[in-house]
Amino acid sequence: MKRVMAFALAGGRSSGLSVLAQTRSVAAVPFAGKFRLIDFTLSNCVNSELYTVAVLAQYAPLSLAAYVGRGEPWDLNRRDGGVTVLQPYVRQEGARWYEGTADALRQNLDVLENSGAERVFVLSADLVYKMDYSWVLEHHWASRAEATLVTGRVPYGEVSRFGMLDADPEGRILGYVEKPGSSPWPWAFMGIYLFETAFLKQLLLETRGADLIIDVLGPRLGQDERLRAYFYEGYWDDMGGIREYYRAHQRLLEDPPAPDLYDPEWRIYSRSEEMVPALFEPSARVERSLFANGARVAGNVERSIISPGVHVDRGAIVRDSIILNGSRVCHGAVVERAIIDKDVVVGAGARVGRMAEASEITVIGKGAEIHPGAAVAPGSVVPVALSALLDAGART
Amino acid sequence: MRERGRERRIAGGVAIGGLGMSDVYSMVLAGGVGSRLSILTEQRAKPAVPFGGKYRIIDFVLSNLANSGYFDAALLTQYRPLSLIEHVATGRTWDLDRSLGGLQILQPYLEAETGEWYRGTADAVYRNLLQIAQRTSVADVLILSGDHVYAMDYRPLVRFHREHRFPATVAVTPLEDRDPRQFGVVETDSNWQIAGFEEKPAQPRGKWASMGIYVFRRDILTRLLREDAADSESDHDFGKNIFPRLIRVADVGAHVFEGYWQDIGTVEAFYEANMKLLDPAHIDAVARPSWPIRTPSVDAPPARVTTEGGVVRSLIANGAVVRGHVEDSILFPGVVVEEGATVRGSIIMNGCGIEAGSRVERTILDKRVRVGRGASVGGDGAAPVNRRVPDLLANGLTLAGKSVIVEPDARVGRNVCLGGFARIPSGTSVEDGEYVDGDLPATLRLSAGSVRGSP
Repeated sequence: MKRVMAFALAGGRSSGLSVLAQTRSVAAVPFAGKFRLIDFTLSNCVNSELYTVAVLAQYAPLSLAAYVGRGEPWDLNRRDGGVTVLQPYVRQEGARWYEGTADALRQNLDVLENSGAERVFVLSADLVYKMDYSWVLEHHWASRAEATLVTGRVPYGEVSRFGMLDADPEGRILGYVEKPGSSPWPWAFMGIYLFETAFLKQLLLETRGADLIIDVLGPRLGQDERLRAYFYEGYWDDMGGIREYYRAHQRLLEDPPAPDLYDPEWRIYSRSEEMVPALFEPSARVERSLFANGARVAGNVERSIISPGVHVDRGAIVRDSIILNGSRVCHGAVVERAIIDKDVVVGAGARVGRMAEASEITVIGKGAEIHPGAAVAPGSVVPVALSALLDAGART
Repeated sequence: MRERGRERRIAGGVAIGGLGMSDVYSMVLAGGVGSRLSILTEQRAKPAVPFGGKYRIIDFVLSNLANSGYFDAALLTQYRPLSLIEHVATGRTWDLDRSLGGLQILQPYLEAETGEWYRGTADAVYRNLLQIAQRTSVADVLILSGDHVYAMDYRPLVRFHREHRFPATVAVTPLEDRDPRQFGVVETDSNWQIAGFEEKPAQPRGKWASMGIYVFRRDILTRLLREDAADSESDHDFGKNIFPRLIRVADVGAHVFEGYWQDIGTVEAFYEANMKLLDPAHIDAVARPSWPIRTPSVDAPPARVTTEGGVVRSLIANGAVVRGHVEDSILFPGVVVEEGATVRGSIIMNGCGIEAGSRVERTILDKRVRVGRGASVGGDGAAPVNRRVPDLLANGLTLAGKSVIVEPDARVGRNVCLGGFARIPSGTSVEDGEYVDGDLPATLRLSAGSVRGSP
């Protein structure tokens, strides 16, 4: 895409993801055994031939900056364009954190100016989806919109988590309700915008509010013909909370999985550690699971996601769980319906979570140590280990 | 004339050296034909043969160099270098893309109007002596092989060589139960100096096998290579000519390397070295986190296993999908094993498809092979040796080259070799010991004579 750039909003501090987002920004939260959430946004950009991306990071920006680096995994290390991570910085008039989406963009208007972009995508980097942004651009162009808001279907039961949009079949926006109790429309705003650069600049300078959809666009929604909706029909999921995060992983285990990460036509790229392929020992018993390189399996694994460097020792059982990088489930331990963050040790004979469908998901924070024989009750959240908090700035 | 030209250029100030450059320069020999790997090296050099579920053999030596902190190196290629060059690229994977020094790929080149292919490993180094000459800061040259599987820190070898002030040192490994007829066997005295050398003896006196890894003082290497180049009787080979000559003219040290080391010389050695990785203790020794083996990984999602108890004692790379049963096997990225299919004791390279209800046993499948529904390839137990390559396929292993298609319900026996792009028609049988010629598509074939050395 020529003269188009993207701002990827890496999010602030999300409370929804509990201890998973305590040591890292939401965009840097691991997903599907070897990815991080931001991989979807960056890969979509590259696959859509959108090569100029600025990532706006506020919370724990170092980890995200280290992960994105110069952008090689996504082919975003370019002479012209490429990817940059923009962190809040000190100006002559003083330093301010980003107070919201609109504020983050306002503080980086100079980046937009210098890019020479005529159009700008504003993307939410905590979504799991595969989208060809060039279709959005085409629709935007054809409807002569100044701003296009991308919407996707959500089940009626979940409308209260989203901003719901009403639009006519041509995409004219007729109404917008933020997190309603119920909604007659199935279309939720996905946090993905395409703006004419001049229009966005004018809006940002004319308004004061910190939030792009509520404060800046809100008053115009349903009033201004130049705002259009684009209807996205593919799979998408936002990682608003632990339940959504867990559910998205379960969908990866379905056949066929959603999203299809194995599609050679729309690859999701990531920066990964160099590890040997997953090794299954003679005592391994595995079923319906994902295993990343570096996994070492000698126990039982069912319906689970096993990330790089995870060890499931002989006699250990892991069911319906997500185990993140470098954690170890020792001999005789049982882990059920749990999310275990990185570098956790579940000691021999310990018990984490419970299978019952009704039981809440158990979450173990990064670096925590579950002592041998200990029991972690279903639905509990074990805090991040102090040592993990101390180096959260350096790595995640 | 040519020699003078070289000297002048060096004197003229193109010498590289100084700050940031290593005083060790490494030359990795990667040009051999590797014919004893049969069709695995039909389309690629031996160091580029895929290995261990995600690697290529060359990754071991390049990772060893990077992990040893020796970033100034050359890769000497000749035979079918394309895969190798694509794989190695700028050397970035191993941090060998440096602004000073770094990795160079040295191909045979034309000198003025005439040029020759490298006549042997020593000749390959000889013809690149300029690289050594212009590195004024280099004290020692490390000669390495691109087809060994091992995790070795070269620094103790170089340290030993320097402390003992040997003109040259060879790395040796205990002969133990290796077949002495495949090695140069050395005897040492109490000072770790080589006291005797036998080339491939039946009854060895020494107890150390030469690993074909040498460190030479720069001047001694230059001298030996010049002498060897002038010797019309020589095959210009390091193991065969340079090393025996070296022992005659100089004190040579032997440095013992105790770790795992395997020369991937034959199909059998290739198979065994792969299968050994299924032992957790072994894989930890060869690719430990503190000594990572790096490779330009295919970016693929985690391996997906759908069936119950579907995978035992196997190494499964990212991007593989297993709906069937896999046992004692190595699966590379993108391999799909469909429902009801069984893979046992096999090495299945990138992108192969093992369709429903088929069976693959004790078989090496090169990239993108399809095994159709209900087909069967390979098997267990003894069988008549392969009739064309009896010494390579004698222990029951079956080998299928790139893009072979075994159609549904076809049967392929043991000790069979299927050449690249061969197609085994549905319902037919290939008996034990058969050799089926490949069928390279015309578009991938070079017309005769197009490889002649015209500029």
